[in-house]
Amino acid sequence: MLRLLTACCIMLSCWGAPALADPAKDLGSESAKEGDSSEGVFNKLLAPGPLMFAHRSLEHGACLKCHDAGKGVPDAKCLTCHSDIQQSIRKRKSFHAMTKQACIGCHSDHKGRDLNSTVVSSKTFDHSKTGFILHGAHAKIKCVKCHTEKRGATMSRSSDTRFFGKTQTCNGCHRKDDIHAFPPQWAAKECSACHSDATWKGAEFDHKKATGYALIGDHAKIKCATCHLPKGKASAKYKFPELPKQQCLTCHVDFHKDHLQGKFQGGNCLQCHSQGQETWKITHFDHQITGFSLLGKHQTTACVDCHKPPKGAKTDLKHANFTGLKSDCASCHKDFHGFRGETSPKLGVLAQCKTCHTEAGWKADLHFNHNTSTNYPIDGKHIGVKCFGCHVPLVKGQKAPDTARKYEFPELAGKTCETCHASPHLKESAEVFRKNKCSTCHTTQGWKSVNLNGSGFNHSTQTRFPLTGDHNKISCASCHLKNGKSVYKFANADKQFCVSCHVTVHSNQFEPKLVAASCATCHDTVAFANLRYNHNESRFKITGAHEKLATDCVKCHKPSASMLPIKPPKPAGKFIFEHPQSGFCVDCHKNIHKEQFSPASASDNCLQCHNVKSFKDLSGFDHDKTRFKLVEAHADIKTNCAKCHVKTHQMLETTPPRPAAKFRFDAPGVDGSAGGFCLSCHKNVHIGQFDEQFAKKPCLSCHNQKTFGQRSPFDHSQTKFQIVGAHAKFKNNCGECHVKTNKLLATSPPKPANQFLFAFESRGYCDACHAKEHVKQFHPPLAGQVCTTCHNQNNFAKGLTFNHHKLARFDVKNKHVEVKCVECHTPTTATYKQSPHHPKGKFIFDGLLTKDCALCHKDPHAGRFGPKCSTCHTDAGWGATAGFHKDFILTGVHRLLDCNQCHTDNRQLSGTGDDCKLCHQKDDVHLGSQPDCKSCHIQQFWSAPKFQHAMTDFPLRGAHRLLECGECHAHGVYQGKSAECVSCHLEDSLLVSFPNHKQAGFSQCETCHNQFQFRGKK
Amino acid sequence: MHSARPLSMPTRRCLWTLFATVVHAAPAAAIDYAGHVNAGVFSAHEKDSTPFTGSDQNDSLAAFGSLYFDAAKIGPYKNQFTLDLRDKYDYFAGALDANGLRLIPSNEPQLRQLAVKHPYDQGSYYWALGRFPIADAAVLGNDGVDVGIKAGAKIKIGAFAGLFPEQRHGQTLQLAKEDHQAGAYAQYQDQGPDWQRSTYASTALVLRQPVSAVQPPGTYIERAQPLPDGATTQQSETADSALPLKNYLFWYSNIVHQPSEQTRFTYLSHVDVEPSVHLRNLWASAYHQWTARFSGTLAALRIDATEYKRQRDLRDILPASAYTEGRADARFKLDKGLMLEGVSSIGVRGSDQKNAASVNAKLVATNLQKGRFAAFAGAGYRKSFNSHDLIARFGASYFTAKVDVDFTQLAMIEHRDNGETLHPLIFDLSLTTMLSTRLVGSLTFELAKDEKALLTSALMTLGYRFGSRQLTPTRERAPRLERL
Repeated sequence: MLRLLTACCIMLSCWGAPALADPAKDLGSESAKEGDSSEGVFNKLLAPGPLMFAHRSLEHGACLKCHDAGKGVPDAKCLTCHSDIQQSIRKRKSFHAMTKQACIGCHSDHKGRDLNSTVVSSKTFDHSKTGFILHGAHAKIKCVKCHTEKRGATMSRSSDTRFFGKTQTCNGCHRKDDIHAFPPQWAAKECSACHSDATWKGAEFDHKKATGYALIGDHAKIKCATCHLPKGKASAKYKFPELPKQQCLTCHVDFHKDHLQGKFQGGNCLQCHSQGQETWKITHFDHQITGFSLLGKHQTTACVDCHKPPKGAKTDLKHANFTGLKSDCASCHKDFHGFRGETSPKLGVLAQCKTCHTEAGWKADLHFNHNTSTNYPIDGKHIGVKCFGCHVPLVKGQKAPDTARKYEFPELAGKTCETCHASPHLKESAEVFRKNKCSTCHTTQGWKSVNLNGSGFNHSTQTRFPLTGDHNKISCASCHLKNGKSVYKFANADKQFCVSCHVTVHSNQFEPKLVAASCATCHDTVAFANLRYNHNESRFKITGAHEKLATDCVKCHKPSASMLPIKPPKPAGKFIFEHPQSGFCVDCHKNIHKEQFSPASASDNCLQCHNVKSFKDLSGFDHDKTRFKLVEAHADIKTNCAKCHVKTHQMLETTPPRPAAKFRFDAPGVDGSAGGFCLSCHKNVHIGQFDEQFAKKPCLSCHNQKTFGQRSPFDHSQTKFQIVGAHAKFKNNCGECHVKTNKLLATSPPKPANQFLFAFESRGYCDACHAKEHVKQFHPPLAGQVCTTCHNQNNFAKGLTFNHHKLARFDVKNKHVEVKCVECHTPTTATYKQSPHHPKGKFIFDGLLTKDCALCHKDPHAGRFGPKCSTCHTDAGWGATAGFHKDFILTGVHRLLDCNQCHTDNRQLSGTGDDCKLCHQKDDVHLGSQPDCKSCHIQQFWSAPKFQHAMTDFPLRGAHRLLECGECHAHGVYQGKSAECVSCHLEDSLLVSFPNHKQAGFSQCETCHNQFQFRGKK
Repeated sequence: MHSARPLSMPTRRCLWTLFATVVHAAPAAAIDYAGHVNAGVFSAHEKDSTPFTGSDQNDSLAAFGSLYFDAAKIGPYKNQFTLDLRDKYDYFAGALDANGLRLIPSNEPQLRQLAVKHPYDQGSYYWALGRFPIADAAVLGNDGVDVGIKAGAKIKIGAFAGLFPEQRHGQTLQLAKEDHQAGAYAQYQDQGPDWQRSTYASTALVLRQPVSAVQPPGTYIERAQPLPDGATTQQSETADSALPLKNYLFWYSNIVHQPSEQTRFTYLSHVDVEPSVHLRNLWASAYHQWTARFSGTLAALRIDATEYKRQRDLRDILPASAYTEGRADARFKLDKGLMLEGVSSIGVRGSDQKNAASVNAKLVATNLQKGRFAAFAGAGYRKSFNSHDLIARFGASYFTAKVDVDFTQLAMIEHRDNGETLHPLIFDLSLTTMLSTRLVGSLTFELAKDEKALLTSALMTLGYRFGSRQLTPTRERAPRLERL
């Protein structure tokens, strides 16, 4: 019962309250403004006090939202609204989940609007019950340091701290403190993984364990951010996937770049550097790891001396280039020796420095002894010679440049001294000496120390000069000692050295060839006077009749006036003869044929005809060598020279004198060439028969030596008339053109001469054979042209080519080009003699220059425009005219008119186009007073003149528009007419009696009248 | 005033039948014929500075057409037939509607020529029958007969008789109310060996006998004797009506003599013989080309058309008077296609010795763009009897075988003696095109304005020429001497 009453009361207080409440209030609305604290009526009546501000809306009939009738305030009721707490309880998180107390145990109500039911005492509150134990620094700080959230959205005490809902994660509070900028997967980790709330700094983090990368040396000292946040949070990097590969270069700049060998690149800087050192700089570097151990002087050499920086860079280790060097010496050291791969049988490859040198010093500890290390011991003067004095080859007997060194001397085995020393012995003698070694005579003590003793020297066999005759008897010094000096080199080997010792006395006596020859050519070493000359070696061989003089030299070599410089002096015989071209005949024998032969044939070489066996025997004469070869018919008289070479009156200087035969034959017009001597024997019967060109030609041009009558094939192209076209059929029938004339040739018997001279050369000779067909047919300039101007030899009648433009007086162009020749050149009654069925065309047009077109074209103007059609028309067509109607523009109506409308009875109107009145005098309504018709009228429409009356003082209006001009301008006066009405209408006014205008003095007509209706006032 | 009298229906039918017969028959007869038809419209809009009867508009509109047909070598005698028929429909020139204060349209057909002829080129004689002009006698129309013969190779003489048709604005209309006329003429024509030399002379005596009892105003009034000085107009009118109508006889002469291309003389004169002898008008000119670059013309003019009637109204600024004028022009060829032309004139009035003078110079180029263009520019001064003016003008023309385009611009400053100064400006543009070898069209615009009025006008024509005769060739380029 009580419950029922309580429930009713509650319900009433809750439901009834709205009726008593302010009607303007929105019941149950949570949007009520803060401060609105009017208590519900029933709450006032039944509740112990007003609800707190946040619950105030429940006062108006929502009691059961919190209360369970008779059961107090169950937690479930509270959690219905406070769902977030309910969730936390379900998740078993937060303080509310931990505590076992009922809601109202901590949170009461009905104690007024200002009740704060969530007061938490920072001193008594057991924070561990929230699930977050306050340790370390957390235990020391104030609550609000963490619980910064305000109620905010809640309706009451929005500025109060909200303790519920705070995250227990470090990030929840310390996110802004996170300096790590961990990537997402790391960001999820709690700070406590490394940090403790006792102290933030000094996080326990094993880098090696956590990352696999041990921090050693300076790495352990630097700040984390140095590697992981090089440029702030935005550059956070905790993963280094390239680390295994790039190693140190993952973070460190590749300082050396390409200046390291490959095996030292790749980031494994620890090969040289270490993390354990205090600085990156390398204080000690074990060069051995490079594969090149530093020994000897290398140890004291500065690194940059070998590992030179690039050009332009600083010379320090920083910029040193550690690449490019090999372990072989040449990688750094220039090969002074210039070895090029030579191999020493004893030393091996010479280019290897170590063969001789060590690292102790370049010159120190040199492992080389020429005498033992090479196949060539050095002694004597060789010892003082510098190495390159020998180890530089000879080029053309001269030492080559030092850069071309030589260390292999394969020829040394054979040549010995000549390997380096050029043999002074001349080639001729060198061959002899080649069999001997230099050392046979010479030593290394000096070239000049020659030892011939016991050397087995044989002058005859080992020199170029065998000792024979008297030479065997004389001492060496007789030849080899000149002016106190030993001479072993002698010139004139080509002359067997005679003149090297003996002076020649024959300098001017012999021909140069013999002078240049050896004395031994004639003399021997036994007795100089013994002469042994082979005359057949000279230019004159002693044969035939001369043989009997072979031993009597003076018969030919007669003593001359010169004396030989010998003791005793003797006259020098003549050995130089001036006529080698004649075979030296005339040097002894007189030439009696001087005037007998032509200059071309004249020669002092008697052997051309004679022979040394018998002077009179001329059978050896070869006539073919003359300018006239005896062939064909002439060959028959070959042996009968006198047939041609008849006796002359000239006598030869023989004993006794004999008449000279004729041997001089001049070829007229030809300079002695073969075949030009016909006229010397044969008479020219063709005088006057040929033209100059052929008259000069030799007979053989047409005739031959076989038979004179039969002519050789003649090349007609040589003439001025080419046989082509139709003429070709007469090619082998010369008589068709070269007809017989009345003239007789001086032959035996006389024969009629054929015609070879033709007139009309300038006309191509056509007229010579062909009749003059076009006489009087062409006008003189064309008649004077050659036939080939139009005709050709291939087709005389049809193959006509004619340049009308150049050759005729009428230039064919434009429309005329389309016209056939016969249309203008109409056939006449005359015919051609050669073609009687072909009529001759008309080619002469009288009056061509005066009659112009009318010569062919009928003049439709009947000549009234003159004879020159070309004045207006062109040959482009009759319709087109040039400057038609030059002076008078036909426009307007005139363009429509027929010519006869103006040019009646073919009247010429030239020059009158400007004077309209000369045609329109009958139309002149102005009676001649306005001579300039065109100043007002236009050709398009006569009635609409350009003259605008409106622009005068009197625009024509009304009735005035209907008047004739003369009705106002009756007197021919068109200017100055008064615009006043009375000037025309005065008489009209005088005729009016009522009212009487004159008496009334009316003078301004327009006052009462208008131009439409003059009669009667308006 | 006379209103237009259209042709009667029977007359029209007769004419059209005749026309159709001839046109259709001509080809069938294989005769030589030619002709043209032309039609056009003219429209002008005028706005005056001074309103008239409440309106400042004064427009014009006219449509016109013409037919010309000429057939030659008809029949065995090779006669010739000519028809010239024209018509103009003017929207504002018919009659006056005084009550409506407007002009009403009118149609003005005219039979300009209808004649059968036997031309001289078919023989040694000539005759014509019908309505035809007589150029040798300066007779615009003669309804009658004309006969002539050749008196030698160069001379023709003829005589005519008939009726002188009524003229209205230079037109001939009907047969009614026409004067009788007759005359005789002679023509001398010597055509030299080429077109550069020729002589033409014609002289004629023409007699007209008026048939009307009343002379319509504006027509020539013959007087037996001049009015005495001081006679009033009324007295002259009265005197006129009492005078019997006199015959009018005048002597007409026309000479064109061109002995060479470089020299030319022209002469034109009308000498009234009856009722009294006096020189009505005379025009004489002499042209000579002195060098290849220089030519000149001297001309003289004498007119005295109003010898018989002179108004004595003192209000007339310029009473009727004889007028004598001398002209000189020179042309100097500066270059091929470039010419400088100068024209001057001076004239004197007989009655009051007032004089007028003018001088103009013009530069003309005709060979621009290979003959496609011609242009001119000129300036001048003119002193007339009651004003002195400055004139400037320029223009250009474009020529092809099919199209001609002309443009001119004129600007003036008129200083009137009454103190008024006007600045007329006239702009003309004309286009003529050969739509085909036979079809010709033209379009013309004009704009004229000064302080008194503004006028814009347009004219469009279309003409077609037909016939069996060879068509006149078309011009291909600008004229060489520019004699526009």
